[in-house]
Amino acid sequence: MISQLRKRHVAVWTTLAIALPVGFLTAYQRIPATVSDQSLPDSQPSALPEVVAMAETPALQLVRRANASDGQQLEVIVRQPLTTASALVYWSDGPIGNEAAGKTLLGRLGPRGTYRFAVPDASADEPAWTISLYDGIKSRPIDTILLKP
Amino acid sequence: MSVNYQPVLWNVQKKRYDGAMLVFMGLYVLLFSVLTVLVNPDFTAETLIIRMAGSLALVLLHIILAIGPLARLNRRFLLLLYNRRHLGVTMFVLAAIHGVFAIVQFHSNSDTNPLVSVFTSNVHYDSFVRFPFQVLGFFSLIILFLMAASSHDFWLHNLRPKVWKTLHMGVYAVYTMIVLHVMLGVIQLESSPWLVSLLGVGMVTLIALHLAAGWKEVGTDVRKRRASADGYVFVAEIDDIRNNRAKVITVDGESIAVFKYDNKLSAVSNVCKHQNGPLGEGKIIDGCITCPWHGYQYRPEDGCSPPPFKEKVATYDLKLVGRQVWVNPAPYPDGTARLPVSITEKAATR
Repeated sequence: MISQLRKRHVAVWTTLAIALPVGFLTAYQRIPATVSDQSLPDSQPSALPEVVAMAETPALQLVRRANASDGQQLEVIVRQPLTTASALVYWSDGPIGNEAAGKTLLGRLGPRGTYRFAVPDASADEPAWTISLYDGIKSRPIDTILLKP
Repeated sequence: MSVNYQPVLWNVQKKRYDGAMLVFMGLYVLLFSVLTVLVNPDFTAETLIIRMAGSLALVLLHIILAIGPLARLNRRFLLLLYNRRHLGVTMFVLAAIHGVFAIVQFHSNSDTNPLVSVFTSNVHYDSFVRFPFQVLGFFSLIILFLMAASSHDFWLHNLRPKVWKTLHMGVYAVYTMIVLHVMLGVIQLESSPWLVSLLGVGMVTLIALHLAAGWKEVGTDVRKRRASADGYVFVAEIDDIRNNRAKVITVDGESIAVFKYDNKLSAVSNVCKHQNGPLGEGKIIDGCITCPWHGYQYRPEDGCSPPPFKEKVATYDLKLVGRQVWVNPAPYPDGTARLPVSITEKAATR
């Protein structure tokens, strides 16, 4: 190595000897104490016993559940990682494609796993549910699934 | 060395070097896969590839950056320097696998161009901790690509060693960006102390090695030499130079290697024309000075590579005063023949 190059190396590494530890320690100090993952609710409601209807897509399994006292529940099993920025779950009683139908936000999906959502009381009387998945970040629909017995 | 450019000039040493590298990489892949299955059984193939390629590239980058100062501090490590460029190209390939899979995995399922998405999915450019770490990885990959693509001797020769070396010092910018890429990326989500500890140890080791090697050499560079009235500078006592080896001195920033061989003395520039390697750390093999970095050869008496090669280095005048070797630091043009100083003849005149 020539003298000029040696001096350049020393200058570079003297700078890095200061800059690298500063960047390293600053980033280290900012590591959050706990990584919060709010995509799964803290406590999942337990599954209602009666399966009223089921529907499947390659990535999801949707189950409409009920119990003897007319309670209703939507269970979504995420089987493959979602490929959208976000996935909000909406319930409606209208047919697929009826954009005017009132939609009720149930919650959102995250990593693979089982999600259970309470549904509006009025849903118990509806023979068919329309479940819409919506990407809230990109503002576009992902999928619409009809769930009927 | 070679007259014609070939993709790779294979020899036994290079094959052994690459073989050892492949064995090391194979063991790493095996170990990483087994640990992933044991610790994180919920993994996907894409995630495994991204993490394995990225971490292995980081390990290789540390090894690559450690070889230079290690070889300058201890000649035994010159062995590792010989085929470092294969290590570098391999590291780039691994980094490219990591980068491409990460971009496909995290950016390809939207209506935005994946490359645009790398720059726009996180726009906290004004924050240090929330800085888009993927952008740092992206620019590192660009620099690594330029280095890998220009690693062949064809580019070294056409760009000239000075430009080529400057381009390849971009690896230090890459290292800085990669450390921050890891610290602002995966480390922010990592609860285990192992990864951050390993990275910290690697970083401190590299800094220490480079500074130690640099300070050692700068001390040699600035040492004042005794000069005689006719401009000659004292090199060493004749017995202090080992046979077929050299004594290196630096005068006014010029590094000169004085070789002792066959009871003769010759002085040439210490800088190899190939990659500015230290000729004075090499030895005389088959009558030629042989660069320890890549085996380029020069005749000691005229600084010319043996035919058909065309590389030439500067030569210098020497004189013996008693048992003392003195050199005139004014260089002759590259490849100028100078009569070697005969040791026995001079010794007889004491």
